[in-house]
Amino acid sequence: MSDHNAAVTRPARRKSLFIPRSISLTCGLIVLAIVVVVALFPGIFTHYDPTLTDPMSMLKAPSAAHWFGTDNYGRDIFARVIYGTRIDILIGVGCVIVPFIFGSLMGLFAGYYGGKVDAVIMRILDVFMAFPFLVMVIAIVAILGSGIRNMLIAMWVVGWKEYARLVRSEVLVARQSEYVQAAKTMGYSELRVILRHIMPNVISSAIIYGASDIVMCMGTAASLSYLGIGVKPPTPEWGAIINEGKAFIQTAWWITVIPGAVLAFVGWGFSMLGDGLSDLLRADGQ
Amino acid sequence: MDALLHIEDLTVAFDLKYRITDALARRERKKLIAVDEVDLDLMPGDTLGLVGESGCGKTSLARAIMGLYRPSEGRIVLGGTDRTKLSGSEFRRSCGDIQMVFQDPYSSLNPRMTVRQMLKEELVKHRMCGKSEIPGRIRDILEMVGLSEEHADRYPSSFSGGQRQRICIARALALNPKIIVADEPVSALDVSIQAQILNLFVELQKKLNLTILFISHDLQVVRYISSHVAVMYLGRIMEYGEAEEIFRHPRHPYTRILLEAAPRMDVPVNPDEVREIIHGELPSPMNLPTGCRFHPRCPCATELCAKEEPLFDRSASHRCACHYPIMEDPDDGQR
Repeated sequence: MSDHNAAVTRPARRKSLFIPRSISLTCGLIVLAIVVVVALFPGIFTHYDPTLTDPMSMLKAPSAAHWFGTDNYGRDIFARVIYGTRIDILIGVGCVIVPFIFGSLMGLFAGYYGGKVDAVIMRILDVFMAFPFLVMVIAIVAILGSGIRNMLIAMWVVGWKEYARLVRSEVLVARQSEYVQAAKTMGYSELRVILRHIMPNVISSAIIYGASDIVMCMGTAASLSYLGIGVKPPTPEWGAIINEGKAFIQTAWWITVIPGAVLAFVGWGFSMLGDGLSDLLRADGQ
Repeated sequence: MDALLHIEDLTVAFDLKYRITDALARRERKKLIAVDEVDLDLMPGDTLGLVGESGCGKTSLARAIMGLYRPSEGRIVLGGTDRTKLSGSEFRRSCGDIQMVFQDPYSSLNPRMTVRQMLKEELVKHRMCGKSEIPGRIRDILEMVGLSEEHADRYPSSFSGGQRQRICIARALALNPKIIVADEPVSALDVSIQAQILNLFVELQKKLNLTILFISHDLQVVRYISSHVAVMYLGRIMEYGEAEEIFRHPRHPYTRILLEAAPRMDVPVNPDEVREIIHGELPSPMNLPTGCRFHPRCPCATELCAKEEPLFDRSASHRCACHYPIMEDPDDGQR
């Protein structure tokens, strides 16, 4: 019986998530925390109104009064960036959550059933793969009309394909494994086998991709706003702020550069989060 | 006595990939026949050892019995009902009667479920007991396989190979099955652990009056655990009988060669001894030899063997599919 006391002293569960396991995960969580607090309580960071115009202080350079300067309507850029956080995060998360769920389910079914189900799902996916992402989004927004809601719908329609591909490839491996065979011999329904036994083992790469996809969606949203088909003015959204500043890039660089830097910083944070999560989730499966 | 599990003419065939180039060349659609018209009976309380080389269809047979592969022909009668004819929900309900222990304990446990979650899911889904009895039942099952309750809340990654195989056995036993199909359950384990797991099988078999289909390529293991033995070659059963009878008086040349080929621990190696060794490679199951499928490698093969497939006497207690079975064993008593 020597074999079965050997492992008794090993820890049964993994340690808490809050003990920093890696630098990237810690960085990611810090950025996420900042972003969440700013998005929830923008009022405590600035007393300026993000949409209030002030003709007396147009195109002011960054100073003690206006940390990020002001734009051509005299609006405080810092306040606009702070209030824009909520919208950008909602867009980023909202763009990812629906494709994540739908795409993963499609990947699960395609990979598990194979054959005709797989062929149909993958051919539909090929159609979406054939179009460049941004071109497809712009086309859909052009049809539906601009605005946050239509932008989200457009991103949902084109965003699921990566999740389906990722999950499907993992399911193809997992469905051959003996624990899935075992679950079938237990007499569980196919849906139970797919969702309870396969899904938890294949979803980690989709979660990791999702964390970095939030960044890409925020970038896409900013691009759409920049192109003038995303968020309508005067709503403070980072891409829209950058877009408004482009006419003044030579005289008032801060309108474009500073919100751009904020976008890049948050993007870096989510990338770190995805990186850290991948270490955590992959190690957990061992 | 009626057989608990009655397998009749069971054939498992896989369609091979048929490419467009094959269609253009007008090639025939090929099939890989993994299990070919197998008849087997499992009596209650028996431990049937199924032996054969790798690739002979042992695992395919086990998976067909479990319903993981759909047999192309034949019947699998378990307790009076043909499993191949059951509808989806009927089949799922009948799964509790026959359970499987897989070969690789490292891949046969879901890495994201604790032992308790795994056992609880089974008990709840098959309504084995009331909600309040579940913790007690889980404790009993774990103790039965030599584990304790403290192991219940762990993930498979914190167990060793032997412990994992115990968990796999616990998972199979939780549904009170009548039959356990064990597909090479010890071949992935260290030799020192193998004996423990084998003894556990023997002990559980006695205690719970289980019927076991034990698949292995290791003859020592099979001899130790089995009451009956079936020898499989290229999808067919070549010889079937009581274990000791088969090991002492093998009738089929293939069985004899298989026994000769196994290294023995109890006799010192004699370099002068002429051993019959098997020649050639295992023929492809896609392209079976004519007549007796063992004839290209058989030392006693004649023209008859190449032409006619030997028949299997289904009623005899010691059956052998050979035109020239070895009736008198000159080495009688040695083995």
